[in-house]
Amino acid sequence: MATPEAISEFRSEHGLDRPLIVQYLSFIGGILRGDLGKSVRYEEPVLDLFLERVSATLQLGLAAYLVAIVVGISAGVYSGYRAGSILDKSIRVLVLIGQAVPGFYLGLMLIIIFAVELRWFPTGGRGGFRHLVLPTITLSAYLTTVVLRFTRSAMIDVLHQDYIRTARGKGVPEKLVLLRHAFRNVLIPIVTILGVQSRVVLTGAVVTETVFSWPGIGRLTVQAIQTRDFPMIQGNVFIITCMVVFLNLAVDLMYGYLDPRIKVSGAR
Amino acid sequence: MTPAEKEKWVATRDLSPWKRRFRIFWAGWDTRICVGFVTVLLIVALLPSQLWPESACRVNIVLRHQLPWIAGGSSAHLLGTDHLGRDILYRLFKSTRLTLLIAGLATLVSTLAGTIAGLISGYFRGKADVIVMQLVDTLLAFPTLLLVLALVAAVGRTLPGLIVVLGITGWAQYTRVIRSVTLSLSGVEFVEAAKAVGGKPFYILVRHLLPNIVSPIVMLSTLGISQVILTESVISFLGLGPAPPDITWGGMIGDGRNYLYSAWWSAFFPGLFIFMSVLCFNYLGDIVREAFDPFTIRHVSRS
Repeated sequence: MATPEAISEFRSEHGLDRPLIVQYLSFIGGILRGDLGKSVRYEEPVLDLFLERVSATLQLGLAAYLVAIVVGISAGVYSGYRAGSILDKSIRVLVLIGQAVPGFYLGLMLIIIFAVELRWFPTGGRGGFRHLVLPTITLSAYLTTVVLRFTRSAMIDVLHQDYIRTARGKGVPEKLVLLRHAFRNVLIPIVTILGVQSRVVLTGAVVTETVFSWPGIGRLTVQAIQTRDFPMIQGNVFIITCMVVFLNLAVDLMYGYLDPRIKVSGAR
Repeated sequence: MTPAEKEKWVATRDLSPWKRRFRIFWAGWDTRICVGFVTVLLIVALLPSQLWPESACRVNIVLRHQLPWIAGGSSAHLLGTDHLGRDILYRLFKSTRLTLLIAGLATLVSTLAGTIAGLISGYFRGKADVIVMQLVDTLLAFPTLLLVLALVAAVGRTLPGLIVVLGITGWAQYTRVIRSVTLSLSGVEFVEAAKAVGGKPFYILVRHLLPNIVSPIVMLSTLGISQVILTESVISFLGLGPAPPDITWGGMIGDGRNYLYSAWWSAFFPGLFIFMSVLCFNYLGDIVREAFDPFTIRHVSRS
């Protein structure tokens, strides 16, 4: 058991004996200087620990985005183009299922089937490509369904526009109608969705990393929560929130390039 | 709209609004299956626990990891036993009650808070609107799950704490919708008339605006329940849910996670419950949205 002296020493070392408002102001002041405090558990600066792990999360997140974009958009374009077909209906059932499965449950089931029974992939950890497969599927599952749904409905909307009829009427090959006329306009809502979903990917990473023992910032945060490492928790939540906000800003700025009708004010 | 569809639409057009909505809602078999599943869950949640043999919930290490009956085990444990020899079917029923209680109450908290904030911000506009919308935007910028996890860690693993945290992190999306509906309704004649005859703001809000925003509220909270079930299951899975002996579906998966090699069933069945209920609530939410849309024909035309 901790002696009263040890407790008060700990409190003064971490500044917990100061008034709340002073603690808060020093936290804000620290952020301005790039100092997020020191982890209680690791006795190291929070920012260093975060930067050490962030590449693992970025790798996983980018892989998930890539899968979601490729699978979601291609399946969505097909599903929207051939709306009502049997394949479209099966894709929509898959979407319903994909949106209802909790990420951690999907991860565990993938482990049971592909790691424990079939032994195709490792159960966890970070290593080569084989280590990346199951976590990527887990993290991208929900994102893929979101991209797919939006692509599908945007595709259906666009295909009913007058300019598509005009393009077909003047004899543009169907492939070019899809690629040049329809697809470009479908891209705008998809980019929005990808930006908004960065929130979901980063929180999904928390769960996925825990299930697959992936050494990223999500797992770091969960461990901090489980060991009540408060400087670590507030630092991580702060940085991740900043990342989400900046990603959304970046997406807003990208509109101007994708859709010339939208001008970011100040730009010419 | 094909002529046949139009005929059906005309057939339901003259019904009273609630009758019409209900008819559209109840028309498809998918609705009835979902409603059936939710009803079964509710009945299970309300069953008294005395119905179960006492031995089912007792720790009995001799009986640990019994195969489920459906996978060739004994019929004494239909869904097998967990790492402490407790019957999984019994634990599932026990956790259904708590999971639904948490999800229901948390949704109620966010619905109430979101509706009140949305009404105030949409009706009074001005400063109140600015403050509320700043709060909403801030909250929506946060990665919700992380915020919930951090708050639960700070509040501690208590049941009321968990419900409040889930409730106050979920109200922002209600406010957004309710505010925009209120904004557009505030300019309509019947509200102006109520103002003109000297109606007090509270009276106008409750008697004139509230009845007209029931449909987005119903829709949002049906979809909201499945979100809460998902978030709560993650929290419990990570070991931050209600403390034992209380248990939720997510907590059962968290328990079973360490025994994936030897006993897949202890994580598989609780997850199936989460999946099924989220699927049902999502689906019902979509159908409710359609039923409240005055131009829906899909479900009516199917029956």
